[in-house]
Amino acid sequence: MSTSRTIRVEALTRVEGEGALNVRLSGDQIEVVELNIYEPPRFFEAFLRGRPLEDAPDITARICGICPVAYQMSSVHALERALGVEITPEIRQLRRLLYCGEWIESHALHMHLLHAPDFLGFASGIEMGQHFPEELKRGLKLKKIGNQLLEILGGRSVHPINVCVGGFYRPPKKDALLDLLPSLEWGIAAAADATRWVSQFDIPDFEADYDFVSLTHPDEYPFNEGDMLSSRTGSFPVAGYEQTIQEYQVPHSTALQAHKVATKSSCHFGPLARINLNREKLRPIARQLADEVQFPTLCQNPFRAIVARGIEVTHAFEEAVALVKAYRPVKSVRQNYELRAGEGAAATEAPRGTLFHRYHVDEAGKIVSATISAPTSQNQKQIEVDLKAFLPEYLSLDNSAIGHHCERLIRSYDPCISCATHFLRLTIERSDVS
Amino acid sequence: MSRSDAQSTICIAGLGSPHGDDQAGWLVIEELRGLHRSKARLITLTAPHQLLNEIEGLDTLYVCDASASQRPAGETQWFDGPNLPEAAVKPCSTHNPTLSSVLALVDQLESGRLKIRVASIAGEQWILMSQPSASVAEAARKLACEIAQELSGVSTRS
Repeated sequence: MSTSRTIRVEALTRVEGEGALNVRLSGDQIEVVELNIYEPPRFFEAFLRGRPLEDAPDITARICGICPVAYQMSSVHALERALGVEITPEIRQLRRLLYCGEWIESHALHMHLLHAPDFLGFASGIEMGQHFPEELKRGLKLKKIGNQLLEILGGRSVHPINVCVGGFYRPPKKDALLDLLPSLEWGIAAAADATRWVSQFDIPDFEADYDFVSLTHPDEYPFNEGDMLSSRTGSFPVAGYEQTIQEYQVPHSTALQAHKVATKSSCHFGPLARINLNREKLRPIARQLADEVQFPTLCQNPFRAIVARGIEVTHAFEEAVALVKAYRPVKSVRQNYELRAGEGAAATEAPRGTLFHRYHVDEAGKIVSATISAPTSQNQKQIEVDLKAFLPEYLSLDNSAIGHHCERLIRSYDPCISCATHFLRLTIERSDVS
Repeated sequence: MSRSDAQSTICIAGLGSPHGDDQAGWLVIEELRGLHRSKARLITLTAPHQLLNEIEGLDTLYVCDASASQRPAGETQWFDGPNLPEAAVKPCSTHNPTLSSVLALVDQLESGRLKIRVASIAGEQWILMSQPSASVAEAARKLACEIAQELSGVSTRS
Protein backbone atom coordinates (compact mmCIF):
# COMPACT_ATOMS: atom_id res chain seq x y z
CA MET A 1 0.00 0.00 0.00
CA SER A 2 1.32 3.41 -0.87
CA THR A 3 0.77 6.23 1.60
CA SER A 4 0.99 9.84 0.59
CA ARG A 5 2.21 12.54 2.88
CA THR A 6 2.50 16.30 2.50
CA ILE A 7 4.96 18.38 4.47
CA ARG A 8 4.45 22.10 4.57
CA VAL A 9 6.69 24.72 6.07
CA GLU A 10 4.17 27.54 5.99
CA ALA A 11 6.64 30.36 6.48
CA LEU A 12 10.39 30.07 6.32
CA THR A 13 12.00 31.77 9.27
CA ARG A 14 15.35 33.55 9.57
CA VAL A 15 15.46 34.35 5.88
CA GLU A 16 14.84 37.71 4.25
CA GLY A 17 11.33 37.90 2.76
CA GLU A 18 8.38 35.55 2.65
CA GLY A 19 8.50 32.03 1.35
CA ALA A 20 7.23 28.57 2.15
CA LEU A 21 8.11 25.00 1.29
CA ASN A 22 5.83 22.26 0.00
CA VAL A 23 6.99 18.66 -0.11
CA ARG A 24 4.77 15.85 -1.37
CA LEU A 25 5.75 12.26 -0.68
CA SER A 26 4.29 9.05 -2.00
CA GLY A 27 5.54 6.35 0.33
CA ASP A 28 9.31 6.78 0.30
CA GLN A 29 9.27 8.59 -3.02
CA ILE A 30 9.62 12.34 -3.09
CA GLU A 31 7.15 13.51 -5.70
CA VAL A 32 7.31 17.26 -5.35
CA VAL A 33 9.62 19.75 -3.67
CA GLU A 34 8.58 23.33 -4.23
CA LEU A 35 10.18 26.39 -2.73
CA ASN A 36 7.10 28.52 -2.79
CA ILE A 37 7.94 32.19 -2.89
CA TYR A 38 4.65 33.96 -2.44
CA GLU A 39 5.88 37.49 -1.83
CA PRO A 40 4.10 39.73 -4.33
CA PRO A 41 6.00 40.68 -7.49
CA ARG A 42 7.84 43.95 -7.07
CA PHE A 43 8.09 45.15 -10.68
CA PHE A 44 11.42 46.97 -10.27
CA GLU A 45 12.44 46.27 -13.86
CA ALA A 46 9.19 47.84 -15.01
CA PHE A 47 9.60 50.86 -12.69
CA LEU A 48 12.93 51.63 -14.30
CA ARG A 49 11.63 51.89 -17.84
CA GLY A 50 11.51 55.47 -19.04
CA ARG A 51 13.39 56.82 -16.02
CA PRO A 52 16.72 58.67 -16.23
CA LEU A 53 19.61 56.21 -16.01
CA GLU A 54 20.99 58.13 -13.02
CA ASP A 55 18.02 56.84 -10.98
CA ALA A 56 18.95 53.19 -11.39
CA PRO A 57 21.55 52.84 -8.59
CA ASP A 58 19.26 54.31 -5.94
CA ILE A 59 16.04 52.68 -7.14
CA THR A 60 17.54 49.20 -7.46
CA ALA A 61 19.23 49.57 -4.05
CA ARG A 62 15.72 49.63 -2.55
CA ILE A 63 15.25 46.03 -3.65
CA CYS A 64 17.16 44.95 -0.57
CA GLY A 65 18.08 46.38 2.82
CA ILE A 66 20.82 43.80 3.32
CA CYS A 67 22.67 44.04 0.01
CA PRO A 68 21.88 47.48 -1.48
CA VAL A 69 25.53 47.94 -2.43
CA ALA A 70 25.37 44.92 -4.72
CA TYR A 71 22.46 46.50 -6.58
CA GLN A 72 24.25 49.81 -6.80
CA MET A 73 27.46 48.21 -8.02
CA SER A 74 25.82 46.00 -10.66
CA SER A 75 23.74 48.91 -11.95
CA VAL A 76 26.56 51.46 -12.19
CA HIS A 77 28.94 49.03 -13.87
CA ALA A 78 26.28 47.98 -16.39
CA LEU A 79 25.30 51.58 -17.15
CA GLU A 80 28.94 52.67 -17.44
CA ARG A 81 29.43 49.94 -20.02
CA ALA A 82 26.41 51.22 -21.90
CA LEU A 83 27.86 54.73 -21.87
CA GLY A 84 31.49 53.76 -22.46
CA VAL A 85 32.64 55.25 -19.14
CA GLU A 86 36.06 54.21 -17.83
CA ILE A 87 36.42 54.63 -14.08
CA THR A 88 39.67 55.66 -12.40
CA PRO A 89 41.73 53.34 -10.18
CA GLU A 90 40.67 55.47 -7.18
CA ILE A 91 36.98 54.89 -7.90
CA ARG A 92 37.64 51.20 -8.41
CA GLN A 93 39.34 50.94 -5.00
CA LEU A 94 36.55 52.80 -3.24
CA ARG A 95 33.95 50.52 -4.80
CA ARG A 96 35.84 47.48 -3.53
CA LEU A 97 36.00 49.06 -0.08
CA LEU A 98 32.25 49.73 -0.13
CA TYR A 99 31.61 46.12 -1.10
CA CYS A 100 33.81 44.98 1.82
CA GLY A 101 31.43 46.82 4.16
CA GLU A 102 28.44 45.01 2.70
CA TRP A 103 30.02 41.57 2.82
CA ILE A 104 31.04 42.14 6.43
CA GLU A 105 27.63 43.29 7.66
CA SER A 106 25.63 40.75 5.67
CA HIS A 107 27.82 37.71 6.36
CA ALA A 108 28.30 38.56 10.05
CA LEU A 109 24.53 38.86 10.49
CA HIS A 110 23.79 35.59 8.71
CA MET A 111 26.52 33.61 10.42
CA HIS A 112 25.68 34.68 13.95
CA LEU A 113 21.98 35.42 14.12
CA LEU A 114 20.42 33.42 11.30
CA HIS A 115 22.48 30.31 10.66
CA ALA A 116 24.49 29.52 13.83
CA PRO A 117 21.33 28.76 15.90
CA ASP A 118 20.64 25.84 13.51
CA PHE A 119 23.90 24.12 14.38
CA LEU A 120 23.66 24.76 18.12
CA GLY A 121 20.07 23.63 18.53
CA PHE A 122 18.41 26.96 19.22
CA ALA A 123 15.20 28.24 17.72
CA SER A 124 16.49 31.78 17.39
CA GLY A 125 19.39 34.12 17.88
CA ILE A 126 17.68 35.41 21.01
CA GLU A 127 17.67 31.95 22.55
CA MET A 128 21.27 31.42 21.48
CA GLY A 129 22.25 34.74 23.06
CA GLN A 130 21.65 33.35 26.52
CA HIS A 131 24.25 30.60 26.01
CA PHE A 132 26.73 32.24 23.64
CA PRO A 133 26.60 35.94 24.52
CA GLU A 134 30.26 36.64 23.80
CA GLU A 135 30.18 35.00 20.38
CA LEU A 136 27.00 36.88 19.50
CA LYS A 137 28.41 40.18 20.74
CA ARG A 138 31.50 39.60 18.63
CA GLY A 139 29.25 38.93 15.63
CA LEU A 140 27.24 42.08 16.23
CA LYS A 141 30.43 44.11 16.61
CA LEU A 142 31.74 42.75 13.31
CA LYS A 143 28.45 43.66 11.67
CA LYS A 144 28.55 47.13 13.17
CA ILE A 145 31.99 47.79 11.68
CA GLY A 146 30.67 46.76 8.27
CA ASN A 147 27.79 49.20 8.71
CA GLN A 148 30.19 51.95 9.79
CA LEU A 149 32.25 51.43 6.66
CA LEU A 150 29.08 51.72 4.58
CA GLU A 151 28.17 54.91 6.42
CA ILE A 152 31.54 56.54 5.76
CA LEU A 153 31.58 55.65 2.08
CA GLY A 154 27.90 55.64 1.30
CA GLY A 155 26.52 58.36 3.54
CA ARG A 156 24.42 55.95 5.54
CA SER A 157 24.62 52.32 6.57
CA VAL A 158 21.46 51.08 4.88
CA HIS A 159 20.63 52.12 1.32
CA PRO A 160 23.74 54.24 0.79
CA ILE A 161 23.21 57.45 -1.17
CA ASN A 162 26.72 58.33 -2.36
CA VAL A 163 27.01 55.97 -5.33
CA CYS A 164 26.42 57.31 -8.82
CA VAL A 165 27.04 56.36 -12.42
CA GLY A 166 30.66 57.40 -12.97
CA GLY A 167 31.77 56.98 -9.35
CA PHE A 168 30.75 58.66 -6.12
CA TYR A 169 29.07 62.01 -5.45
CA ARG A 170 31.83 62.88 -3.01
CA PRO A 171 35.02 61.22 -1.78
CA PRO A 172 35.08 59.83 1.74
CA LYS A 173 36.95 61.74 4.41
CA LYS A 174 40.35 60.23 5.03
CA ASP A 175 40.14 60.97 8.76
CA ALA A 176 36.89 59.04 9.04
CA LEU A 177 38.45 56.02 7.36
CA LEU A 178 41.59 56.24 9.49
CA ASP A 179 39.46 56.46 12.64
CA LEU A 180 37.88 53.15 11.63
CA LEU A 181 41.24 51.48 10.92
CA PRO A 182 41.76 50.05 14.45
CA SER A 183 38.29 48.47 14.30
CA LEU A 184 39.03 47.04 10.86
CA GLU A 185 42.31 45.60 12.13
CA TRP A 186 40.50 44.11 15.14
CA GLY A 187 37.98 42.69 12.67
CA ILE A 188 40.56 40.54 10.89
CA ALA A 189 41.37 38.61 14.07
CA ALA A 190 37.78 38.58 15.32
CA ALA A 191 36.42 37.30 12.01
CA ALA A 192 39.09 34.59 11.98
CA ASP A 193 38.03 33.58 15.53
CA ALA A 194 34.39 33.52 14.46
CA THR A 195 35.35 31.29 11.52
CA ARG A 196 37.21 28.90 13.82
CA TRP A 197 34.12 28.80 16.04
CA VAL A 198 31.67 27.93 13.25
CA SER A 199 34.10 25.44 11.67
CA GLN A 200 33.73 23.32 14.81
CA PHE A 201 29.96 23.02 14.48
CA ASP A 202 28.46 19.60 13.87
CA ILE A 203 27.84 19.97 10.16
CA PRO A 204 25.46 17.52 8.42
CA ASP A 205 27.17 15.03 6.19
CA PHE A 206 25.60 16.00 2.88
CA GLU A 207 27.33 16.65 -0.41
CA ALA A 208 26.17 17.22 -3.95
CA ASP A 209 27.92 17.44 -7.29
CA TYR A 210 27.42 21.15 -7.89
CA ASP A 211 28.01 23.32 -10.89
CA PHE A 212 29.56 26.26 -9.03
CA VAL A 213 29.29 29.64 -10.74
CA SER A 214 30.82 32.96 -9.75
CA LEU A 215 32.84 35.83 -11.07
CA THR A 216 36.55 35.26 -11.35
CA HIS A 217 39.33 37.77 -11.77
CA PRO A 218 42.96 37.13 -12.69
CA ASP A 219 44.42 39.23 -9.86
CA GLU A 220 41.97 39.41 -6.99
CA TYR A 221 39.07 37.83 -5.17
CA PRO A 222 35.98 38.84 -7.13
CA PHE A 223 33.73 41.72 -6.19
CA ASN A 224 32.93 43.90 -9.19
CA GLU A 225 34.87 42.70 -12.19
CA GLY A 226 36.04 39.69 -14.14
CA ASP A 227 34.53 36.94 -16.23
CA MET A 228 31.99 34.39 -15.13
CA LEU A 229 33.33 30.94 -14.33
CA SER A 230 31.44 27.65 -14.12
CA SER A 231 33.11 24.68 -12.45
CA ARG A 232 31.62 22.44 -15.16
CA THR A 233 31.81 24.43 -18.34
CA GLY A 234 34.53 26.99 -17.78
CA SER A 235 34.47 30.73 -18.26
CA PHE A 236 31.95 32.81 -20.14
CA PRO A 237 31.72 36.58 -20.59
CA VAL A 238 29.41 38.67 -18.44
CA ALA A 239 28.14 40.32 -21.63
CA GLY A 240 26.78 36.96 -22.74
CA TYR A 241 25.33 36.01 -19.36
CA GLU A 242 21.82 35.18 -20.60
CA GLN A 243 23.24 32.94 -23.32
CA THR A 244 24.57 30.70 -20.56
CA ILE A 245 22.19 31.21 -17.64
CA GLN A 246 18.54 31.82 -18.26
CA GLU A 247 15.69 32.73 -15.94
CA TYR A 248 12.28 31.13 -16.31
CA GLN A 249 9.01 31.12 -14.47
CA VAL A 250 7.54 28.30 -12.43
CA PRO A 251 3.90 28.20 -11.33
CA HIS A 252 4.60 27.92 -7.61
CA SER A 253 6.82 30.97 -7.17
CA THR A 254 6.72 34.70 -7.77
CA ALA A 255 10.50 34.54 -8.13
CA LEU A 256 11.96 33.42 -11.41
CA GLN A 257 14.24 30.40 -11.30
CA ALA A 258 17.40 29.96 -13.36
CA HIS A 259 19.24 27.18 -15.13
CA LYS A 260 22.03 26.62 -17.61
CA VAL A 261 20.65 27.16 -21.10
CA ALA A 262 22.45 24.19 -22.63
CA THR A 263 21.64 21.55 -20.03
CA LYS A 264 18.64 22.98 -18.14
CA SER A 265 20.60 22.11 -15.00
CA SER A 266 20.84 24.10 -11.78
CA CYS A 267 23.87 26.07 -10.60
CA HIS A 268 25.19 26.97 -7.16
CA PHE A 269 26.03 30.65 -6.54
CA GLY A 270 27.41 32.32 -3.42
CA PRO A 271 30.32 32.07 -1.00
CA LEU A 272 30.87 28.35 -1.50
CA ALA A 273 31.12 28.85 -5.27
CA ARG A 274 33.39 31.86 -4.88
CA ILE A 275 35.84 30.11 -2.58
CA ASN A 276 35.87 26.92 -4.62
CA LEU A 277 36.61 28.89 -7.78
CA ASN A 278 38.86 31.62 -6.38
CA ARG A 279 40.52 30.27 -3.25
CA GLU A 280 44.04 31.23 -4.36
CA LYS A 281 42.90 34.86 -4.72
CA LEU A 282 41.94 35.20 -1.04
CA ARG A 283 44.08 37.59 0.98
CA PRO A 284 46.91 35.84 2.91
CA ILE A 285 45.30 35.62 6.36
CA ALA A 286 41.98 34.43 4.91
CA ARG A 287 43.74 31.88 2.71
CA GLN A 288 45.77 30.62 5.66
CA LEU A 289 42.59 30.48 7.73
CA ALA A 290 40.89 28.34 5.07
CA ASP A 291 43.80 25.90 5.33
CA GLU A 292 43.78 26.01 9.14
CA VAL A 293 40.08 25.15 9.42
CA GLN A 294 40.61 22.47 6.77
CA PHE A 295 38.14 23.95 4.38
CA PRO A 296 38.08 21.39 1.54
CA THR A 297 39.75 22.38 -1.73
CA LEU A 298 36.48 21.52 -3.43
CA CYS A 299 33.77 21.91 -0.81
CA GLN A 300 30.47 20.37 -1.91
CA ASN A 301 28.63 20.53 1.39
CA PRO A 302 26.18 23.47 1.37
CA PHE A 303 26.08 23.58 5.18
CA ARG A 304 29.77 24.57 5.14
CA ALA A 305 28.74 27.86 3.57
CA ILE A 306 28.73 29.24 7.12
CA VAL A 307 32.49 28.59 7.25
CA ALA A 308 32.93 30.05 3.76
CA ARG A 309 31.20 33.20 4.97
CA GLY A 310 33.60 33.44 7.90
CA ILE A 311 36.57 33.15 5.55
CA GLU A 312 35.08 35.83 3.29
CA VAL A 313 34.46 38.17 6.24
CA THR A 314 38.12 37.75 7.21
CA HIS A 315 39.13 38.45 3.61
CA ALA A 316 36.89 41.53 3.49
CA PHE A 317 38.47 42.95 6.66
CA GLU A 318 41.97 42.31 5.28
CA GLU A 319 41.04 43.92 2.00
CA ALA A 320 39.47 46.89 3.80
CA VAL A 321 42.56 47.47 5.93
CA ALA A 322 44.78 47.42 2.83
CA LEU A 323 42.47 49.77 0.92
CA VAL A 324 42.13 52.24 3.80
CA LYS A 325 45.90 52.34 4.31
CA ALA A 326 46.42 52.95 0.61
CA TYR A 327 43.69 55.59 0.34
CA ARG A 328 44.87 58.95 -0.98
CA PRO A 329 42.02 61.44 -1.30
CA VAL A 330 41.56 62.97 -4.72
CA LYS A 331 39.49 66.01 -5.60
CA SER A 332 36.86 64.16 -7.55
CA VAL A 333 35.82 60.56 -7.62
CA ARG A 334 33.26 60.99 -10.37
CA GLN A 335 33.87 60.53 -14.07
CA ASN A 336 31.96 62.75 -16.46
CA TYR A 337 30.16 61.14 -19.35
CA GLU A 338 28.15 61.98 -22.43
CA LEU A 339 24.72 60.46 -22.81
CA ARG A 340 24.34 58.08 -25.72
CA ALA A 341 22.18 55.16 -26.71
CA GLY A 342 23.66 51.84 -25.73
CA GLU A 343 23.47 48.61 -23.87
CA GLY A 344 25.53 47.35 -20.98
CA ALA A 345 25.65 44.37 -18.66
CA ALA A 346 27.49 43.73 -15.43
CA ALA A 347 27.70 41.06 -12.79
CA THR A 348 29.00 41.64 -9.30
CA GLU A 349 29.22 39.36 -6.30
CA ALA A 350 26.51 40.09 -3.75
CA PRO A 351 27.08 38.37 -0.39
CA ARG A 352 24.72 35.56 -1.38
CA GLY A 353 25.85 35.19 -5.01
CA THR A 354 26.14 36.72 -8.44
CA LEU A 355 23.86 39.67 -9.18
CA PHE A 356 23.46 40.38 -12.89
CA HIS A 357 22.08 43.60 -14.42
CA ARG A 358 21.53 44.57 -18.05
CA TYR A 359 20.26 47.94 -19.28
CA HIS A 360 19.32 49.45 -22.63
CA VAL A 361 19.41 53.25 -22.60
CA ASP A 362 18.37 55.72 -25.28
CA GLU A 363 20.26 58.78 -26.53
CA ALA A 364 18.45 60.98 -23.97
CA GLY A 365 19.70 58.84 -21.10
CA LYS A 366 16.37 57.15 -20.41
CA ILE A 367 16.21 53.48 -19.53
CA VAL A 368 14.52 51.50 -22.29
CA SER A 369 14.72 48.13 -20.58
CA ALA A 370 16.25 46.60 -17.48
CA THR A 371 16.98 43.00 -16.54
CA ILE A 372 17.91 42.04 -13.00
CA SER A 373 18.85 38.48 -12.02
CA ALA A 374 19.22 38.18 -8.25
CA PRO A 375 21.33 35.47 -6.62
CA THR A 376 18.43 33.89 -4.77
CA SER A 377 16.49 33.48 -8.02
CA GLN A 378 19.51 31.79 -9.49
CA ASN A 379 19.93 29.51 -6.47
CA GLN A 380 16.26 28.64 -6.15
CA LYS A 381 16.29 25.64 -8.47
CA GLN A 382 19.48 24.38 -6.82
CA ILE A 383 17.79 24.57 -3.42
CA GLU A 384 14.93 22.40 -4.68
CA VAL A 385 17.36 19.90 -6.23
CA ASP A 386 19.30 19.78 -2.95
CA LEU A 387 16.16 19.17 -0.91
CA LYS A 388 15.22 16.21 -3.09
CA ALA A 389 18.62 14.66 -2.49
CA PHE A 390 18.80 15.61 1.19
CA LEU A 391 15.34 14.52 2.35
CA PRO A 392 15.39 10.71 2.00
CA GLU A 393 17.61 10.34 5.07
CA TYR A 394 15.02 12.12 7.21
CA LEU A 395 11.77 10.63 5.96
CA SER A 396 11.29 8.49 9.06
CA LEU A 397 10.96 11.64 11.17
CA ASP A 398 7.71 13.45 11.84
CA ASN A 399 6.68 16.30 9.55
CA SER A 400 7.78 19.02 11.92
CA ALA A 401 11.30 17.57 12.23
CA ILE A 402 11.57 17.10 8.47
CA GLY A 403 10.47 20.69 7.98
CA HIS A 404 13.14 21.84 10.41
CA HIS A 405 15.88 20.00 8.48
CA CYS A 406 14.63 21.46 5.21
CA GLU A 407 14.73 24.96 6.65
CA ARG A 408 18.31 24.42 7.78
CA LEU A 409 19.35 23.51 4.27
CA ILE A 410 17.49 26.46 2.76
CA ARG A 411 19.10 28.84 5.25
CA SER A 412 22.56 27.65 4.26
CA TYR A 413 22.01 29.56 1.00
CA ASP A 414 21.18 32.74 2.95
CA PRO A 415 18.29 33.34 0.57
CA CYS A 416 16.98 36.82 0.12
CA ILE A 417 13.45 36.24 -1.07
CA SER A 418 12.67 39.93 -1.36
CA CYS A 419 15.52 40.25 -3.85
CA ALA A 420 14.43 37.22 -5.79
CA THR A 421 10.83 38.29 -6.18
CA HIS A 422 10.56 40.36 -9.28
CA PHE A 423 8.76 40.62 -12.53
CA LEU A 424 6.16 38.01 -13.18
CA ARG A 425 5.60 37.32 -16.86
CA LEU A 426 1.99 37.95 -17.67
CA THR A 427 0.27 35.74 -20.19
CA ILE A 428 -3.21 36.67 -21.32
CA GLU A 429 -5.19 34.12 -23.20
CA ARG A 430 -8.04 35.50 -25.24
CA SER A 431 -10.61 33.64 -27.17
CA ASP A 432 -12.18 35.32 -30.18
CA VAL A 433 -15.84 36.03 -29.84
CA SER A 434 -17.38 35.91 -33.24
CA MET B 1 20.85 57.63 12.04
CA SER B 2 22.55 60.38 13.97
CA ARG B 3 24.36 60.41 17.27
CA SER B 4 25.97 62.59 19.89
CA ASP B 5 28.14 62.06 22.98
CA ALA B 6 29.45 58.66 21.91
CA GLN B 7 31.18 58.01 25.27
CA SER B 8 28.08 58.16 27.48
CA THR B 9 26.84 55.07 29.31
CA ILE B 10 23.27 56.26 28.86
CA CYS B 11 21.65 56.12 25.47
CA ILE B 12 18.31 57.57 24.48
CA ALA B 13 17.09 56.19 21.21
CA GLY B 14 14.21 57.63 19.23
CA LEU B 15 12.63 55.19 16.82
CA GLY B 16 10.59 56.51 13.95
CA SER B 17 10.03 57.52 10.37
CA PRO B 18 9.06 60.77 8.64
CA HIS B 19 5.44 59.72 8.45
CA GLY B 20 2.93 61.54 10.67
CA ASP B 21 2.89 60.49 14.31
CA ASP B 22 5.56 57.88 13.68
CA GLN B 23 7.96 60.78 14.16
CA ALA B 24 7.22 60.74 17.92
CA GLY B 25 10.51 59.05 18.89
CA TRP B 26 12.55 61.40 16.69
CA LEU B 27 10.75 64.43 18.13
CA VAL B 28 11.73 63.41 21.65
CA ILE B 29 15.39 63.31 20.59
CA GLU B 30 15.08 66.65 18.83
CA GLU B 31 13.62 68.17 21.99
CA LEU B 32 16.36 66.65 24.14
CA ARG B 33 19.00 68.11 21.83
CA GLY B 34 17.33 71.48 22.21
CA LEU B 35 17.54 71.23 26.00
CA HIS B 36 21.37 71.08 25.81
CA ARG B 37 21.45 69.40 29.20
CA SER B 38 21.45 65.75 28.50
CA LYS B 39 24.71 63.88 29.03
CA ALA B 40 23.16 60.89 27.37
CA ARG B 41 23.97 59.70 23.88
CA LEU B 42 21.05 60.75 21.70
CA ILE B 43 20.30 58.76 18.58
CA THR B 44 17.54 58.53 16.03
CA LEU B 45 16.88 55.18 14.41
CA THR B 46 14.51 53.84 11.80
CA ALA B 47 14.32 50.21 12.90
CA PRO B 48 14.64 48.37 16.22
CA HIS B 49 17.49 46.11 15.04
CA GLN B 50 19.72 49.18 14.78
CA LEU B 51 19.71 49.25 18.57
CA LEU B 52 22.02 46.24 18.49
CA ASN B 53 24.77 48.50 17.15
CA GLU B 54 24.42 50.88 20.08
CA ILE B 55 24.48 48.81 23.26
CA GLU B 56 28.22 48.40 23.76
CA GLY B 57 29.35 50.08 26.97
CA LEU B 58 25.86 51.16 28.04
CA ASP B 59 24.29 50.78 31.44
CA THR B 60 20.96 52.47 30.64
CA LEU B 61 18.93 52.45 27.46
CA TYR B 62 15.85 54.56 26.88
CA VAL B 63 13.77 53.82 23.81
CA CYS B 64 11.11 56.27 22.67
CA ASP B 65 8.67 55.14 20.02
CA ALA B 66 5.20 55.80 18.68
CA SER B 67 2.46 53.24 19.09
CA ALA B 68 -0.77 52.58 17.29
CA SER B 69 -3.26 51.70 20.00
CA GLN B 70 -6.70 52.49 21.35
CA ARG B 71 -5.19 55.00 23.76
CA PRO B 72 -5.85 58.71 23.15
CA ALA B 73 -3.29 60.32 20.85
CA GLY B 74 -0.45 61.83 22.83
CA GLU B 75 -0.81 59.57 25.85
CA THR B 76 2.54 58.25 27.01
CA GLN B 77 3.09 54.85 28.59
CA TRP B 78 6.27 53.61 30.23
CA PHE B 79 7.54 50.04 30.30
CA ASP B 80 10.52 48.86 32.31
CA GLY B 81 12.73 46.02 31.25
CA PRO B 82 12.82 44.18 27.95
CA ASN B 83 9.31 42.72 28.15
CA LEU B 84 6.72 44.75 26.34
CA PRO B 85 2.95 44.18 26.43
CA GLU B 86 1.57 41.62 24.03
CA ALA B 87 0.28 44.22 21.58
CA ALA B 88 3.81 45.51 21.06
CA VAL B 89 5.17 42.05 20.37
CA LYS B 90 3.14 41.71 17.18
CA PRO B 91 5.44 42.47 14.26
CA CYS B 92 4.63 45.37 11.96
CA SER B 93 7.25 44.20 9.47
CA THR B 94 8.08 40.75 8.20
CA HIS B 95 11.63 41.78 7.37
CA ASN B 96 12.89 43.16 10.63
CA PRO B 97 12.77 41.89 14.19
CA THR B 98 10.28 43.58 16.50
CA LEU B 99 11.36 46.00 19.20
CA SER B 100 10.30 43.38 21.69
CA SER B 101 12.57 40.68 20.23
CA VAL B 102 15.48 43.09 19.85
CA LEU B 103 15.16 44.14 23.50
CA ALA B 104 14.95 40.49 24.52
CA LEU B 105 18.21 39.83 22.67
CA VAL B 106 19.83 42.90 24.19
CA ASP B 107 18.79 41.66 27.63
CA GLN B 108 20.28 38.22 26.92
CA LEU B 109 23.54 39.65 25.64
CA GLU B 110 23.91 41.94 28.62
CA SER B 111 22.80 39.25 31.09
CA GLY B 112 20.04 41.49 32.41
CA ARG B 113 22.63 44.11 33.46
CA LEU B 114 21.35 46.84 31.17
CA LYS B 115 18.53 49.00 32.50
CA ILE B 116 15.95 49.34 29.74
CA ARG B 117 13.10 51.86 29.74
CA VAL B 118 10.64 52.13 26.91
CA ALA B 119 8.34 55.12 26.45
CA SER B 120 5.49 54.74 24.01
CA ILE B 121 3.52 57.71 22.71
CA ALA B 122 0.14 56.83 21.24
CA GLY B 123 -0.35 58.22 17.75
CA GLU B 124 -3.41 58.71 15.61
CA GLN B 125 -2.33 59.47 12.03
CA TRP B 126 0.38 57.87 9.91
CA ILE B 127 -0.02 59.58 6.56
CA LEU B 128 3.09 59.45 4.38
CA MET B 129 5.44 62.40 4.92
CA SER B 130 2.82 64.31 6.92
CA GLN B 131 3.40 66.45 10.01
CA PRO B 132 2.80 64.83 13.40
CA SER B 133 -0.44 65.68 15.14
CA ALA B 134 -0.32 68.47 17.68
CA SER B 135 -1.05 66.14 20.57
CA VAL B 136 1.88 63.85 19.69
CA ALA B 137 4.27 66.78 19.22
CA GLU B 138 3.26 68.10 22.64
CA ALA B 139 3.62 64.64 24.19
CA ALA B 140 7.12 64.34 22.72
CA ARG B 141 8.09 67.68 24.23
CA LYS B 142 6.78 66.64 27.66
CA LEU B 143 8.46 63.27 27.44
CA ALA B 144 11.81 64.88 26.59
CA CYS B 145 11.48 67.09 29.68
CA GLU B 146 10.53 64.11 31.81
CA ILE B 147 13.55 62.11 30.67
CA ALA B 148 15.89 65.06 31.12
CA GLN B 149 14.51 65.55 34.60
CA GLU B 150 14.82 61.85 35.39
CA LEU B 151 18.45 61.85 34.33
CA SER B 152 19.48 65.05 36.01
CA GLY B 153 17.12 65.25 38.91
CA VAL B 154 16.61 68.86 37.89
CA SER B 155 13.56 70.33 36.29
CA THR B 156 14.27 71.87 32.90
CA ARG B 157 11.17 73.32 31.34
CA SER B 158 7.61 72.24 31.09
